[in-house]
Amino acid sequence: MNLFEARDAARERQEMCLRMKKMIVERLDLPIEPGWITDDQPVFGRGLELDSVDTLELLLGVEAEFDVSLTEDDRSAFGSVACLVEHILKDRQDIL
Amino acid sequence: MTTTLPSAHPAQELGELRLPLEADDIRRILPHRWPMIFVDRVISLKLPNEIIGIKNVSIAEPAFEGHFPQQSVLPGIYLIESLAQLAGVLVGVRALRSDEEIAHSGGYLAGVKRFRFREQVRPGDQLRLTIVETARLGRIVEFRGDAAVGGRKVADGVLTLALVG
Repeated sequence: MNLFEARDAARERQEMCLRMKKMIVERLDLPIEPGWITDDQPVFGRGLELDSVDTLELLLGVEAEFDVSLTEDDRSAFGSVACLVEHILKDRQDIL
Repeated sequence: MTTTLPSAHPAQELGELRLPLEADDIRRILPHRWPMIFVDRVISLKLPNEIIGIKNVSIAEPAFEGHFPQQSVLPGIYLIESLAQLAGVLVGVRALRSDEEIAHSGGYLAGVKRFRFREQVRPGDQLRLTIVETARLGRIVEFRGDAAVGGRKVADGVLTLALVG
């Protein structure tokens, strides 16, 4: 990957993180602005304080927004926004 | 569709049951009892994810004493609870058939979203309840449900159960 490709990849990742944050706030009706969520903030526990019902909602949101299926085995992907985006990018690479 | 339920769990003593599942069969699956059991009969079962049941609405429902004294209207929460219980029957039947990886003994209503109550339900109405499982993550299961009277949809929405056991 050359410098230009690396820059494009970083931009794509950044845009996906923003889309993910918007989706989370809208889908879970959170009383915050998407920009308040940092890429590495834990989604569960003391992060965004989401619970297991929210997890399923988030899973459905990722499927609808990014066309990527998540299962019980992908729980580690729910660690943070960055983890979710990483999982989606990896999933796309696997398809290619 | 006729489904035979094997006696997989001796404690349940369900034996061989065929559709329709009658009220006495349902009481062996659900822990609910009067005045909080809202599924009278199961008329269709398309395993693993769809079930159709019946609830007959009677003036004898305790809720009508207060909702309302001059006009009997079934509370919307009763429709949600009826659908949640039917989802519980679906989970229970699967557990009895050992279709579940884990035999869940039941579940609790954990979420309700996008419910619409389109028409009033009154004494004498027969509710046709339909539940379809739409998503799942571990013990959290989401269902789409609707209730109809005489072919007209009176309520629909999405509910989530947290399975236990």
